[in-house]
Amino acid sequence: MMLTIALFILYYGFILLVATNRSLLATRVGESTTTLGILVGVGVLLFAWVLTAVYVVWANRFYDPEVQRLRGRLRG
Amino acid sequence: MTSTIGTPTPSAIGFFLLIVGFTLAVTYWAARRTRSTADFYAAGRSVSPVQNGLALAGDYMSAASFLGIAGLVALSGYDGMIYATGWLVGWPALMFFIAEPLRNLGKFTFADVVAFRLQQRPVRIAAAFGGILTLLFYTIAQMVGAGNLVTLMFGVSYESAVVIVGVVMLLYVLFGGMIATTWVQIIKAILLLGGVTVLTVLVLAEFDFSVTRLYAAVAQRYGQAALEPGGLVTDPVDAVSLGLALMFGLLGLPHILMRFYTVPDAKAARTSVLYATGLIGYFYLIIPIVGFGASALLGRDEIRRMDPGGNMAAPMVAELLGGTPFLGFVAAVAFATILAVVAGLTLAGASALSHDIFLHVVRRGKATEHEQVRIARIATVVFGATAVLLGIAFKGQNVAFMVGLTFAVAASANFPPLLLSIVWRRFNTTGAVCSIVTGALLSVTLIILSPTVWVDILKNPAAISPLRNPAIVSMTAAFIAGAVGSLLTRESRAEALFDNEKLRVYLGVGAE
Repeated sequence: MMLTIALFILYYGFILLVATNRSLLATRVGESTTTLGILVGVGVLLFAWVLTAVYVVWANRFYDPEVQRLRGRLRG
Repeated sequence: MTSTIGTPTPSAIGFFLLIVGFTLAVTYWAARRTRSTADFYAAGRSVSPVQNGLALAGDYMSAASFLGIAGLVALSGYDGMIYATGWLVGWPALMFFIAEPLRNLGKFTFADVVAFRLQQRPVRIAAAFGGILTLLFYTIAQMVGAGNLVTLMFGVSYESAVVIVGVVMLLYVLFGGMIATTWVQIIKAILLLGGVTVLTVLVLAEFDFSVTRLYAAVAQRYGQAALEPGGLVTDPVDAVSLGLALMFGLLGLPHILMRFYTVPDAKAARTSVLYATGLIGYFYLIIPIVGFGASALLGRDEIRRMDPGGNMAAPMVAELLGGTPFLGFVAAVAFATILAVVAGLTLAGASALSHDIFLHVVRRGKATEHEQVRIARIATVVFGATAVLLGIAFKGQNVAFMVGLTFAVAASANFPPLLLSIVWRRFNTTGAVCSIVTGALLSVTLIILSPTVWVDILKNPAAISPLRNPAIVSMTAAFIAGAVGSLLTRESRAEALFDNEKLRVYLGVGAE
């Protein structure tokens, strides 16, 4: 649930930022010509993957053992 | 340097024959292991998470996104990067909402899940309709793109290109079923990711392996505007609508959803999405580098001269930095990419026809394994032949909007009933049919009335529907229709079965 909200904020926040505040994304980073927008775009891609990884870790660590426990109770 | 793009070179033909030959050999090996429906539809449920991750990525990364996004970045700069991010964000959503429940509840198709506790016949018909509609639009876009690409790169006639694609793809699916299709997608994914990686390294080498140098070179040539948001995303509502279509459309693509049945269990499904997301994310991370490299090294005019849409940007860079042999490799990989995607689409279409319609609607669930496999093969030929005919019929049409249409229909007609079926006790047959029909009709109608079709293609003065992508309206409407339809009628059997369904969804009890 939390992960889903994080995903929505990440992506739709990015999109709305592009639609409403272009100049912010156009600001240059330091001395180079690289824009904040480029960094944010890359960040969205990376963080989207991180969210899936967090889910997998959570599911393997907490969800599956709980499932096993419940299935055991069903059998018994 | 005069380009060899447009003429069949020995290296291009060589790589092409190598790839086709190898994949057909794999198909032969797969055919000998394809006996039962579980083999044909789901590769015997023996695909590992790593393999499925590669196959999912291979199924998803189309030639259109490789060439198209590289071209978009080359011609429009940062706007291409914005578009690229949208293609990845559906995958976390797929993980959170659909991947594991789908694997636990269904057998071969996503309609299995929608119809799980509802009346089979009406729901199967509706779900198959939504699924096949989605697949047809996507297939047309892919086949026309295939025809154009092969013509552009190899110089053969459009019709021959479409027929060649159709025939080779049919061989994979007809004889090798899901096993062959999976391996073709894995091979294609490795080739595509490998090829684009090499291309990226070559581009960065021109700039001392510094992306900042690359961006500076682009800015020097085309101004700082190339690195800033341009005209692509202007209206917030339209932008969010497109985002919704891209994100939730993925969750309604039958050929992607089908892949979840090829792994042994839900945990494997979960892991495979993780790998797929990583691979696809990597892909969309490096393509813009190729695109920027193209604009800095070749120049936008040069790129437009080869193809006004910019689709040749990546191959041109390949030729510039790696010579004709590397171009030949890239051309062959682009071709393999199309084959893999179309094979996946055909298998999904065939399974909707044979597993959903023939088995569950016509035969009410009773047919022998042998009959089911036979019908599946016949359906494969039917869908494949239709794909070729449609590809030829749409020659010369601008079908780029069909990809957006596909995702909009998938997000509106397939995803809402799928989600509601999993999470809502009161969801019933009436609700399912209402939501599918509403989603499909509304998304298609609104796209026809949108600027992309009504103005650009049909040449009317002004669009009736201002949205370029209708998802925000049609998807919401489909959810509402599903809710209203369910609340107005009572289906006690569906409600009673919900607890059993939950056991299966969350604990995997009784999963196939």
